[in-house]
Amino acid sequence: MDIMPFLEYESNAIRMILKDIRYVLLLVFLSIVFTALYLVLLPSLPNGTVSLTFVRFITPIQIAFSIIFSVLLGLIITLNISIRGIRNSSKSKNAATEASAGAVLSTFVNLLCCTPIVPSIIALFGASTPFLFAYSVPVDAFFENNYIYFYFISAILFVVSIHYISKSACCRTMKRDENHDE
Amino acid sequence: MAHFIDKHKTDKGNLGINEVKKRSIGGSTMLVIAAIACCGILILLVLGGGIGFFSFSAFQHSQTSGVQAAGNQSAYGIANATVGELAPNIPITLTNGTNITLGDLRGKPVVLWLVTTWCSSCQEGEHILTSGGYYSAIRSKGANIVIIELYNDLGQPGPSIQSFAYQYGSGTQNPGLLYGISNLNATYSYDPKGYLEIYYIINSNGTIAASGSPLSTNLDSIVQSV
Repeated sequence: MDIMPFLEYESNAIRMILKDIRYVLLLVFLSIVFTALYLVLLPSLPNGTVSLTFVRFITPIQIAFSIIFSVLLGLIITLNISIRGIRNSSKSKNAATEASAGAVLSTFVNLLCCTPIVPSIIALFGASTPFLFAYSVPVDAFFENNYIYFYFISAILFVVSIHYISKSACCRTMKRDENHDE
Repeated sequence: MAHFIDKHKTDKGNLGINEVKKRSIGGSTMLVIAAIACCGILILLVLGGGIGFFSFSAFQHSQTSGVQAAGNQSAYGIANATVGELAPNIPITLTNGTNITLGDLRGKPVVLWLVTTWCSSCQEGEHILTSGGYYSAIRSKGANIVIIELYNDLGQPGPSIQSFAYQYGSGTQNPGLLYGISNLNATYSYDPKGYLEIYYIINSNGTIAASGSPLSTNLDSIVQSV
């Protein structure tokens, strides 16, 4: 993948939505809504529930990623709305996959530490108590200590999704221009 | 029949580019289905392997240790803590160095909470318990709160139970709020499913009234149950 077209597609697409005040407002609105959602979700999920009680335990890393995820998700949705008619193209399908994967990963990783999900899954295999401690605790500890890397992966998936949408938008615009020339 | 074939040929011959593209998607759909099927088979193989591995490991372990897990007994022959039954008696070394047993606390209800000091939900639970009015609510009902670190923090590095109390709670000096450690048997007995935290509500006569995980989201029901 060439780095220049990557940035070019994205900057073109973003410039395109920034020209229209409706899309700018939509982007701001979505970003605020998603930020609020993530600020509650990220600190709550280690407790296996969604509650405002846990917002006070949010870490600076989680605040930063709440904003990053929200802006990227807002951008993905705004781009998808602004570029109508490309939903059936393969690139937009890829974009949807990446965006979904990113959204799921960014929230699910918080559930894997601390809640009984991991030991319950391992218990399904018929593991006895000593083996549950041997296998589920390191997995829990891994997600507890390394959740930030999963946040990075989620953010990258969002960016790749934006790239696919931007590329799709770019190709469609070019085709439209060609048709007009003809 | 011949008419149908001719018509079909004619239709195909007149297909536009878009129509041809649409029909060629059928091939790629089949590829995707095949890929999903392959992934499904792979997942089944991994799951099967996992089940086999765990079953074999468990079998090997029971053979070598000579201890069979049966009925209400944990793998090490200690009674598992079960709701409705008498709470297994375990030794506790408190942060001030005093050695007691859980049985010594009979006569008053006990909220027993076993934690790993490195897990974020335990840290949040400790903060909510000691600062959110729940400690006072539980104490007003005459109950003691005993917080025990799961054996060796379940093998992961974490702060000591004393540091945990001071860092996330209000210290170890509050009356009726005891912090301590116990042995491996206590961990196997009270946390047989390998959770990072688990709580028990023990009645004044020593029977277990309720149990759950995590503590932080169940504090309201704990206050009601004590």
